[in-house]
Amino acid sequence: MKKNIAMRVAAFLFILTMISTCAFATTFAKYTTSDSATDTARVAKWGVNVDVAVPTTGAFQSSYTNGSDTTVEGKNSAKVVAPGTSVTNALTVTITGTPEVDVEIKYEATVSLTGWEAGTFKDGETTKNTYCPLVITVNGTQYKIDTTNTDATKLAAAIEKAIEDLSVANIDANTNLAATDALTHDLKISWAWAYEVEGTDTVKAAANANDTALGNLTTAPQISISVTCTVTQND
Amino acid sequence: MKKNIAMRVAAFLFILTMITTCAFATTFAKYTTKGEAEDSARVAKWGVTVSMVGMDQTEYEISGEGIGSQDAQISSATDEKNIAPGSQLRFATIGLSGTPEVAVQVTFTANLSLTGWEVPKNENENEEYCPLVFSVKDKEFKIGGKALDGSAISTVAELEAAVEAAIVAYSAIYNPNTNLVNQNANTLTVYCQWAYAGNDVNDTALGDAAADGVSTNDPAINLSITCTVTQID
Repeated sequence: MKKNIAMRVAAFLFILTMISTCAFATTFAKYTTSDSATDTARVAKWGVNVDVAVPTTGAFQSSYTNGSDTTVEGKNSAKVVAPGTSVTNALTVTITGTPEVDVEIKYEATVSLTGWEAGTFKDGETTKNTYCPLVITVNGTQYKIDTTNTDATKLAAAIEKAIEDLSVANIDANTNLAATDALTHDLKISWAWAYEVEGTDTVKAAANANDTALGNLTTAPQISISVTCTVTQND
Repeated sequence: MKKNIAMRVAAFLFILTMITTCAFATTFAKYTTKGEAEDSARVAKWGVTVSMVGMDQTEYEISGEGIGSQDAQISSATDEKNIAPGSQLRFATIGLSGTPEVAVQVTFTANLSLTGWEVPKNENENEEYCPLVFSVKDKEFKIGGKALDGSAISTVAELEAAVEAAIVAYSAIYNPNTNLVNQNANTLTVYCQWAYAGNDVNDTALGDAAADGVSTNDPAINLSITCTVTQID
């Protein structure tokens, strides 16, 4: 009977030893190597806004007022231009945002000036002289018919170039795209048709005659401006 | 063998998918923001015409009570325009047309000069005598009548001023898209009449003054009218 009890105690101790050995094995293991790493990421911020805006009444308007008087009004609400009309900031592009990626700003412009011909026919000629009294201002620089832009086609091309020259191939990440005093990627287009030109009475009379001639053309001269601005992430 | 071919096709498609995904990744997966605007206009139409028909006759029939048609004419030998008792002379008819898309100012200016309209009062002095009746559209002006402002016309100078003022009064401002044909200034006509039945002695004296070979005392009418349509700023 005593032997039996001793055997039972021995067996109990053996089992207890086995259990504790397993349970505390790591505690008493001597050789150990460990490593761990954690990382997280979020999407790079874009947040770029391209606001291409024209006034509520349009870059060109169907009517113009002087005080409370309507001085120009296109029939059937047609958008028109006339001597004495103008729109400041007729079309603007405002870019904002500080993207966390490199970007490209690309401007595309299409300017069309058709039918701007007036003046008297010269002997033997079948075409009229170019006459476009519009002055288009792109970011403070005026474009008009002059010794450089001698006809409407060249004038339109010059305006398109001025707009598209605002394109930038690459701007580094985390650059604030909003305009500063030193640098702007924004665009402001204004236009005007003077009611009366400066100069001598002869010069004024000639301009008045040409203005009148434009207004009397069967096919009215036209102007159209189209601008697209795209900001794209560079790879 | 069939299983092998299927596996190869599947592998090829898998590789192709991977290649195109890489090749066009930049095209279809990048940040981009775009804005655009477009607008156009044409020149506002003008299309205004001003016509003025002036005196176009050098020969007139005289109208008046008791006048026979056979001898009732005055005829100028020099193509000058003449007026005599019983005749009416149209000086001008102004025609306006057009529907401009801009506001306009129609401006009339007039300068009437009546010279030599005087007859002997006595041996030493003359007095004014102007039997002419001017019509500016539907209003008449003559010595003894009234000007537009209600003031009396009692001298040749006042008659000149009254006629000028009546013509200038047709100046007006019109809004864009106003059809000028329908406006009061269109068909503005200025007539001058000399009544057949008047003061025969004085009428004859005027005719004698015109016939005496001295041009400085010839009774004469000179009316200048200008009509200008200008865009208003």
